Amino acid sequence: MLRVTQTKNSLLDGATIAEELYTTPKDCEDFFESLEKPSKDPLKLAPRNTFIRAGVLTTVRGSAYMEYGNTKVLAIVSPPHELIRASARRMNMGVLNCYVNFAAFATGELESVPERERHLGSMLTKALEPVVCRTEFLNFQLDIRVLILDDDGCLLSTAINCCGVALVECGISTYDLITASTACIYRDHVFLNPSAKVEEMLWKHRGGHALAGSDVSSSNSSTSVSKEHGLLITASMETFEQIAQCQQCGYLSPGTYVKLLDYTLAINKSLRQLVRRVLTARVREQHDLDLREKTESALEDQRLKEIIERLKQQGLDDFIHSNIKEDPYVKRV
Amino acid sequence: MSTKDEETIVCLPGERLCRTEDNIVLGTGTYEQNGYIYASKSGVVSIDESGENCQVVSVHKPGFHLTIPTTGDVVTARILVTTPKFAKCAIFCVRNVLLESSYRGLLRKEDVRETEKDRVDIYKSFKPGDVILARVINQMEQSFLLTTAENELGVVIAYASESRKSRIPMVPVGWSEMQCPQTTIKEPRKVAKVLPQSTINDVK
Repeated sequence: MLRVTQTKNSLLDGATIAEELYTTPKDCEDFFESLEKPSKDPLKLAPRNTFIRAGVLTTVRGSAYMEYGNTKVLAIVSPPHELIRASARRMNMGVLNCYVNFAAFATGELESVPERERHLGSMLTKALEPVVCRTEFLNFQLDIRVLILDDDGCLLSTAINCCGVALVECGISTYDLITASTACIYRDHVFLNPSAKVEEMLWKHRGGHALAGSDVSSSNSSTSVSKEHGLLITASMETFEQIAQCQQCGYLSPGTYVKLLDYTLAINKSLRQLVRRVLTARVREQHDLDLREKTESALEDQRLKEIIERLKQQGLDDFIHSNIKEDPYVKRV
Repeated sequence: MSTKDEETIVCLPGERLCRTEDNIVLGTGTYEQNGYIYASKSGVVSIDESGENCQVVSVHKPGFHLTIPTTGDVVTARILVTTPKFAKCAIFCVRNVLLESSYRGLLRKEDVRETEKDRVDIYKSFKPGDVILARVINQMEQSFLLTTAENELGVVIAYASESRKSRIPMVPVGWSEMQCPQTTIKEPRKVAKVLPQSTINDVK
């Protein structure tokens, strides 16, 4: 059977889904019914169950691991090094490069992975450029690598959160803490932090399919509102209330756009509290470690000083002569 | 915003530290915006007095310091290549912090010494493999511009060209010569006046 992909069906993060040969509208309907549909206006604007840990690797200076529900992401930041490609030099700012990699077991569709990686990488760079103080490392480049271990939706926003924590952990100057989240709407239902299945459904049902199950008999009188379907990712920084990156895909009316934006900003606020807790605990941990190391080295210095004092008192000559074996072939004068 | 815990104030990037005033200077890890000083790193805030009525606000990250050579720092570098016009070197130490990866440095002929700048022979001042102390003047596109035009800057460790196997460091005999203790061969170098520890009196 020939599989012909005529149009480029790209997801928000660059994935392409080849048209499945046998998708009936009924399959989509069944899936949609099977989903737990939240109310039209979500009452609780909260992120998924999150786990963030800064400083997980010993080989790299800055690293962070984040679990957002089932999505698992690892980010690595190494200190800036000299520009490799001289052509990429900017006049007054350093260069930022992001590389995203999927683990082999992260997602089911392996065909679309390389393109998704490139797409995610370029969008991650765009999102992180406003955060990092690029004026501090002129003529250097900063490499950020992200490894995705498990894909369950909200990849870009989880990657942004994780990289933000890794940047602060590495000691690179940033203007603020950055947090990101995703919201999507489909047939008047707002899904916050959509899972992979919801995201996939959104892209199977773009265009006319969104109408397919809703009202077959009166297809002419369907209002434009029910055609809305789309995904919104927002990354924001709180201190000056700035938006670092806002990515939208789909078909939204301005009112819905603003509504989804407000939802994501609220989720960002609560995520920021979590990130602050994690980072503060990490600073205290490092501070204690530092103090302990300092006291240990002070003790060591003290010990050595005592030994030297003792040797001085005894007389260094005796010490040397007591330890050196005599050369039997040299006459002792 | 920031928590006090036995006098250690922990801060995170984006936290407002204080208002900008005339006698407050920005230290490392901070930036200024809209008349206030904000932190740009996570760590412990320290406010030091420097000079008269001058306070330096800085944020130090415990443990690891990201050091990049800035103008005015004394760096330790190893000479890689010498040409008649300049010497390329690899900076591996900034002040007293050992770097993880080396940065490129460039030492021009005019910056080797203070007097008679244009009549300098690079081959009589440095040889590849020497370890030098230099000061950073500027950061060019590719590398850092260095200078050794001071008494205390110049070659610190050098090995004689002949005895490569034994690698005995040469001993300085004057401003522009070093001698190998084994072969007693004298070689011209731009020697750094590094005082031994015993002659330095501690400033109390």
